[in-house]
Amino acid sequence: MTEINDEVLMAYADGTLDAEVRDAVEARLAESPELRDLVERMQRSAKLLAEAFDAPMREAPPQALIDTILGEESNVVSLGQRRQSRGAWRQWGGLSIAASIALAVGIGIGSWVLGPGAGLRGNTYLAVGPVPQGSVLHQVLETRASGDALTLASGGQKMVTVLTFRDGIGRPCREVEMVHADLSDLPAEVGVACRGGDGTWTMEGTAEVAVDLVREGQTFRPVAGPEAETVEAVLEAIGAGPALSPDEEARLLENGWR
Amino acid sequence: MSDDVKREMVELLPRLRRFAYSLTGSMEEADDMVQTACMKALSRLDQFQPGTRLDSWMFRIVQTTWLDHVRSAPVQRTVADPDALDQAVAKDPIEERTTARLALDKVRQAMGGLPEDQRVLLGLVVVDGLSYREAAESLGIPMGTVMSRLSRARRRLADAIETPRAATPEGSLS
Repeated sequence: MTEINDEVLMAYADGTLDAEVRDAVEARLAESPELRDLVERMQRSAKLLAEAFDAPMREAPPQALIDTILGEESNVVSLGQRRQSRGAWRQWGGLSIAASIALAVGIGIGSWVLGPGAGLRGNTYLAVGPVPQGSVLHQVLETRASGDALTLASGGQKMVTVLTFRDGIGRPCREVEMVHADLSDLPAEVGVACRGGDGTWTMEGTAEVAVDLVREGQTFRPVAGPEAETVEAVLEAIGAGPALSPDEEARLLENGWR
Repeated sequence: MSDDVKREMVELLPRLRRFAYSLTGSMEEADDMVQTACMKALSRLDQFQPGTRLDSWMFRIVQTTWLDHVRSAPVQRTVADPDALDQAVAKDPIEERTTARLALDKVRQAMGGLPEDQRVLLGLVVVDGLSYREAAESLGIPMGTVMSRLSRARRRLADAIETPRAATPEGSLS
């Protein structure tokens, strides 16, 4: 005789039993209201569960996901002066001319909602401490070349590593930025992460970048606030060496950081 | 060859997002996870065997990505508080909440309260519609494990959304 356990009842509820077992189950169900109730609840809850998570099937996936797969993203950020030297932070602090102009325009049309001196706050993607395995950040640190920005499918911000270097004890480290496209491509968060011998990445320091707006005639000129110096202090504390060349970085990425 | 695989991967996106959504309960987290999984898959495309099922392979990568994330970032995860949910519903005078809508909220919440290995199987079999065998193959676990784990999950889910009319003892019903 067939044992009627939860597995058999589930398979019955899902309609996957062969005729012989099905008949045996039905004979049991005929005499047990409790089992009939369980089967019905299994069926109803399954139908509800499928419906509860069905939304992604009824909408187009975010373009950022498609771009990630097809590699058609033309998101390469010009690293320019950031790469040149270890003094990159001071230079970066001045921001690019293009960003300054774009920001000034932003103020002009009134889309700039933050007053001078306000930080560009948003979701905090970069947090000090271990970088979770399986996170977008981990994947970007581990596999993406500097300047090759990833647009997050979940929010539209860009995540980009800007340079790779070794710290005082020889660990490979990377500077990474979160860039908010709606804020004229200004970096909103900056972090420094280093890779341990066991393959884990640790965020050694982060800064939420405040931008002060300095009036210059008819426009405002953005300048980095004091937070940039926080990251610079982190770089000094870990004994950051010079930025690796693109070729050196490519070799590390290719060889899994060995 | 790899271009064909990429196109197929794009076509799988709705299903991958749905699976990820069923695991995380949040569309934002689901998109982060699918994006991470896609990057992982692309970086090891040479490990994919042409002729085998790309969906199985991708589901497994999504699943391991999620487990990695859950295990290395436990503090960031919160289980939905049933009271908070009830209050949120009660405080919503504009949007009319139908019974059906409430039932969907309830089932999502029940899903979030299940152990991870059970959620994975519910996501694959009940949400995506894979057969028991396909789920076993995708995860690389024995069929018997799928059956026992999934039946536990199904009973817990059934009990969570509707109180049984009479108590049915778990397990031995022979």
